Amino acid sequence: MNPTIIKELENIVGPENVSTSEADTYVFGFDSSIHHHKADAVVMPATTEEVSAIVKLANRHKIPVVARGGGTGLSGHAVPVKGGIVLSTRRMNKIMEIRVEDLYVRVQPGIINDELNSVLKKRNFYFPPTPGSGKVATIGGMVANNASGMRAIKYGATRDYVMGMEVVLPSGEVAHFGTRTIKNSSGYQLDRLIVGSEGTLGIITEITLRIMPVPRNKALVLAAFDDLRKAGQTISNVIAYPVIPSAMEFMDRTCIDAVISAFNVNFPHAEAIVMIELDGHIAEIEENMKIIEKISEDTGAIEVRSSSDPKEMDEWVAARKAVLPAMSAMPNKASVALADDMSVPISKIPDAVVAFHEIAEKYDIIIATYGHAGDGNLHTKFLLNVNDEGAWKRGEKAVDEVYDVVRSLGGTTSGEHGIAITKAPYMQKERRDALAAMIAVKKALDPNNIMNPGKLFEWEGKILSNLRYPADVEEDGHPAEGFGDPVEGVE
Amino acid sequence: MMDKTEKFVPEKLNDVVDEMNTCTACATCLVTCDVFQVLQWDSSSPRGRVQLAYGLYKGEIEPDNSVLTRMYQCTMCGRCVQECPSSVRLTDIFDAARHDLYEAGYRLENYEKFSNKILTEGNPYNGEEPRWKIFGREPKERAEVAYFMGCKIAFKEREMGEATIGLLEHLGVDYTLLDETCCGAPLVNAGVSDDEIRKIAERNVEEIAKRGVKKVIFSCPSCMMSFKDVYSKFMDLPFELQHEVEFFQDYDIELKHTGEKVTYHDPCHLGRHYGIYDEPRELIARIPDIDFVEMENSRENASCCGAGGSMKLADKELGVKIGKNRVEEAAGRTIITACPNCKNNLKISGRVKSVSEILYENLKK
Repeated sequence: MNPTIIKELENIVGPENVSTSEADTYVFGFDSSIHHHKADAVVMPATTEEVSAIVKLANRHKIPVVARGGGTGLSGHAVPVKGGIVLSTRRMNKIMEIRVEDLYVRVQPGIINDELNSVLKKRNFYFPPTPGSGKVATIGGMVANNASGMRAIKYGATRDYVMGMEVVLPSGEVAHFGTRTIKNSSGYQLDRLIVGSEGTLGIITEITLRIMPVPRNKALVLAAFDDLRKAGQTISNVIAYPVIPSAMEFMDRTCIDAVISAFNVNFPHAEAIVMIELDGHIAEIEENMKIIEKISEDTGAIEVRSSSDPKEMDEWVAARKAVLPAMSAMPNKASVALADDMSVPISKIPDAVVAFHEIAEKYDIIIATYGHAGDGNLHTKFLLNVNDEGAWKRGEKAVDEVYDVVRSLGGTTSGEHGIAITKAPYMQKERRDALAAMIAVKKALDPNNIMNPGKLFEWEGKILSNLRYPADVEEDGHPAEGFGDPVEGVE
Repeated sequence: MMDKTEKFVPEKLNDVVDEMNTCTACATCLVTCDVFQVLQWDSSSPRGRVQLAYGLYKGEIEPDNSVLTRMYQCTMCGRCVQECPSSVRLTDIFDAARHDLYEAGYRLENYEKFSNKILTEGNPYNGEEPRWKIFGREPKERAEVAYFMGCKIAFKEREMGEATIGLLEHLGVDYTLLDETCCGAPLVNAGVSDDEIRKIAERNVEEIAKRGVKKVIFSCPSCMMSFKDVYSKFMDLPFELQHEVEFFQDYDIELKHTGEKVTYHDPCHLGRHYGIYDEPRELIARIPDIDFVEMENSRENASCCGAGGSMKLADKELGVKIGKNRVEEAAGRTIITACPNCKNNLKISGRVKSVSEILYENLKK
């Protein structure tokens, strides 16, 4: 990168908060996805004014700016595929204001989900979306991806809690979208546009989040099945009853075996487990617990357990949250994030899971399936020998077919992890008639295409590109050219 | 950094490729890494170091000063290994990367100077006198027990050695000091070749074995780790190895009352590495009326003192800052620990004693 631009960045945030070193530019080219591309510079601003100045500079020189929170994105959101500046929000981690009486909290984007909740908990409040990566994921990243987690069936996704935000637009101007009020019908809901925009429309510098009272009581029901369809049917039967639990989690045999092996957790060995969380008043929990136990047994559960012991519940939930990394501990296989968070209508869960298993068998790979089945959001993790080019190729074909199934069931490409690179071709197929509108919005707000370029509708071709793994899989995936390609100022 | 003497060629890194691939980059390790919590750059996290090791293995990065610094800004405390949900042996990856860098001539100047001193003089602290002489006790020809004191005690934390020797003599143990040389732990941290470390191992083991020793005791968990984990790769050790907190447990020690307000800092190599958590606490609890409170992060969750992995050679300020954070956790209490390196770093900002010292000063003589 041009030394005068680096000097300007140093003037904005201080030299200790800018790096162009080999180590930093390489590491900030990774997130938790399968992709990698080196950055040209890394900056760590602390204030909105600094972000604005960085973006103005970048826009003037047409340098890409890629926002990065915890770096836990699974699809390549924070990977600077066109180089440029990675803007880390680590220093923007303050809670600006907690107003429990107005049901909101105002935060900087770099605050970590669990850290925010540990502060709110002291006031008996919380921010309900709970991603598996909540110990490291930042609120800014969660907003940019519309993350959610296991409690979306009852409490919704991050989108449902964003009341307002401050955004540095690609021009460097600062805009305030949304409000601090529960209701808001004042013009375009642009805060909603920014939610899930994956850093392509601006840099979020402050967020006003709605908060909820911490539920007083919780209980878990764990039902084990010898048949995937029976597990899926149980989920549908509980919802149709109707009982709306706070979470309904699903794990197939591969996941169950992995967490038992990694954590020695006391789960039954089964084809599938459905873990159902109830919250609220004790009487209601107890009543619903009995209903769920009966539905599970009537639908063919081979074992049903319930617990309201906090320690045991924590152990079960922690084991479920750690499915992804636990699977990577399997010998000669690594868990890779391919096709990882599709959503289907809730009743289609059994069809989806059975179809994924058939696809896995066809391509001789392991696809582990788990997820927030109560809201129709499944996670598939591909377990591959990552040194084997053939395994990657078979995996890619399997991903194509997995998404064919998802679309045929009326589902969507991503439920909560976002699109970025790894899922771009499939979103483009799914949202064919919406792409023109998306591109029009992008061009209107970011005419120089500096904000996280090369992602979403801009990614062309296949997904096995810029791989961070040893196998060199020759692919034709790449960011589309001719979209206002930002190269000036980047060596 | 020294001049580039050879092109970087992965050697030990080839043995940890599966470990590197197994890392899902989930970032769980960032939460508990003392280094990352101070520096806040992703490249200073365990995940970042795995990625740098991978970059070196793939030849995607130049091993320049920034890469070297990040690779050595690690206390090797092992917390990331303990927390990793994918069971990745991260410290093995860091060891391999450091070894391959050092072998190829990519060296941080301080590490190289420190290592060369150990290799030529037998200790890194310009110590000229034999250790037994410093403590005025000539090695015996034969003894049941040998006390391997280590360089830190001999040249930096002598009160700890005096306390241990005092306790051994008070309890009537048939022990001997040794004509020892550095255990080699800093060389392992630097990435020096196995051949050099084997020579040190052979010298120390021979010096002990010739005295018919049945048991070697250590004040320094890192010295003990050199024997247990490194020397044992090269040869069978003809004696038992124990940390002093294990050894003294077997003795009745008459102690007098003290109302001192204390807490205990778990050394990473004693606690997390060998699971020795109860023994030091049990010894402290023997002192009548001692006012003991655990720190918020203790046992498996203990933070590092900041001096592990010889990290202060790469970044002294960082090591001191981590130590200061740990001292703040003690909230004004005397920190008791069981490692001279921990004591040495924590005492920069707090009041610190070893288990042996607090026992020795409260002996009913």
